Amino acid sequence: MGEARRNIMDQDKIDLRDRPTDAFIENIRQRFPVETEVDRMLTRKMHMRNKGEVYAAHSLESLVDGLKGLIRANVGDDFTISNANWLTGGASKIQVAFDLAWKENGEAKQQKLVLRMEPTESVVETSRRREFDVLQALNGVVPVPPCNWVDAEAEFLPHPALVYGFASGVTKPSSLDSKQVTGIGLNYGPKLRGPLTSQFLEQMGTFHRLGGELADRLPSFDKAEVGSNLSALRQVNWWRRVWEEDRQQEEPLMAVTYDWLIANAPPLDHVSLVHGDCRAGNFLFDENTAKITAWLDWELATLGDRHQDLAWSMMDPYRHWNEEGTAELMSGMLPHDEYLEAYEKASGLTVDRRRLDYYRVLCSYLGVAICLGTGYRVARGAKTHQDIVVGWLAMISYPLMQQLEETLKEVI
Amino acid sequence: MVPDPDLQLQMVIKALSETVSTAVDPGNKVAQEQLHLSIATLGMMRSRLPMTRRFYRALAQDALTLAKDLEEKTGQSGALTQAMNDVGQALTDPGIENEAIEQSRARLHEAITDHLAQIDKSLGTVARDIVMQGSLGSIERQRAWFVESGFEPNADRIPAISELIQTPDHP
Repeated sequence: MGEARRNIMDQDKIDLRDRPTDAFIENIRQRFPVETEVDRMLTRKMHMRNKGEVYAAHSLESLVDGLKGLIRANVGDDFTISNANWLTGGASKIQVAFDLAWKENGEAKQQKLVLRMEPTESVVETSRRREFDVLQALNGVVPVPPCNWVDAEAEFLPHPALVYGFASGVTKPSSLDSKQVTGIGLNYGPKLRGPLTSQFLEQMGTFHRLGGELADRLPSFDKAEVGSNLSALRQVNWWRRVWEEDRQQEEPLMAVTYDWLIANAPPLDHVSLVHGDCRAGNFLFDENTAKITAWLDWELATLGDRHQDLAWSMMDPYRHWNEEGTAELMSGMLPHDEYLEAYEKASGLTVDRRRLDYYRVLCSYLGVAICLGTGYRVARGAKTHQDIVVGWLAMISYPLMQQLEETLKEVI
Repeated sequence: MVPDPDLQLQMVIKALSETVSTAVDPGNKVAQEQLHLSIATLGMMRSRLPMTRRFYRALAQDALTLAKDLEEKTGQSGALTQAMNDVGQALTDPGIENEAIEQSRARLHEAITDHLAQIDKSLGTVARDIVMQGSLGSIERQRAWFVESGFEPNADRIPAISELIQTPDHP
């Protein structure tokens, strides 16, 4: 190999994104302002990356030891943990189910719980404190797992974690023979589809409608204001920042999309609690009663525009054709127009097609940032317990880029 | 060469599929899923390995075509021209490693986005249209490359990757 060619290759092997300097981190922070807690999470990720930490497998025993510390700090010494076992599902967090027996104010209690802990880095770097806040705020509003305790600063466990109640149910019909990751292409089948759809849209409408009221119970969330496009700009900059921090290489399509998103961010018409990953596969249901038992994965929740959840739930990967082959079902539920009409009826909120178009572009953009950007960086750095799942997920980036290009062309 | 990379991959896939998979605890869902994805990843690598060089060359050519169009319609910049020359050189060098071709493409993508940030605002729409049109070829090739991932809702409509890297531009 020629000397010049070898020099070029050696130069490229020093990847600043693998070992970011303080100046690199600060430069990105200044250029792409985001919510306070999001900024804290992303900055922490970059500083940890700078230290070069890779994922080291945790034994079940070591996590149970950490759990004991967290529980002791909350309920005292009188408790027993049993039946701890790993949980699968998702590509993001480490999860352990366990039984806890303890005494509270002299009363004996027993509960099946889940520990949800971050790996060294995750395909989405998010805040356990925010997840804790949102689960607390939604208790009694829509079905969510009861959330017990949070170890927001990893005081007891190797990484930030929370403990929530085990919710029964399944994310997909047990008869469905799909090995695809993260609920993509999920088909509920004709029997479950109707009842799940009506609950899904009604409950999504509820947390969208009540965003303003819930905001006061979400201390780790920046507020959103009607008439301002600041919440939209923060969303765009969140994913632009993630792209800048994590990507392997620049994509010109991402650059022109970012410019368009900044120039066209619409002012908010109603403050909603936005789930952030609102779709088939992110709620549990009881197969016998067809009742939704718990909404999951609130880590991307934010105060903002309901159209973001609608657009995300209608993304291509979450669609499939009906049994007759006559219509594509949004999130495996209803054809496009019927889906939006049913949402309006269930929520009492309108669907503004122009806003929806804007968030269709944003959703494709952030999907590429997560899968092609963070998916690559996390797998390259060997940062998780699921590198192969994250790496597999990165391959969805190209259908997402196609969707991004087509949506942008249609919308501009 | 015995065993060649294709045979090595064949042997590993067989061992994992027929022997190792039967020994993995069916109750360990994390291990089951990771084994399934490991075998599928190796299978994908095996089918793509012989075409890797043509694929990287095609992507580099796509980036070069986009950059040329952009330069022609929005003006020259020194860094963009340099990055284009580097890709051009990589594509004519028979001894260059695949990794170096891909790195030259990455540098060209960086130069393109830097150029986009610097051009006159009045040319923004023209530049955006060029980028959108010029991205289609590489997106299609990468979708075809990864079609076995199962993420394509209509996989039968995706052309075979072998067809997409056999144009006169991608010998």
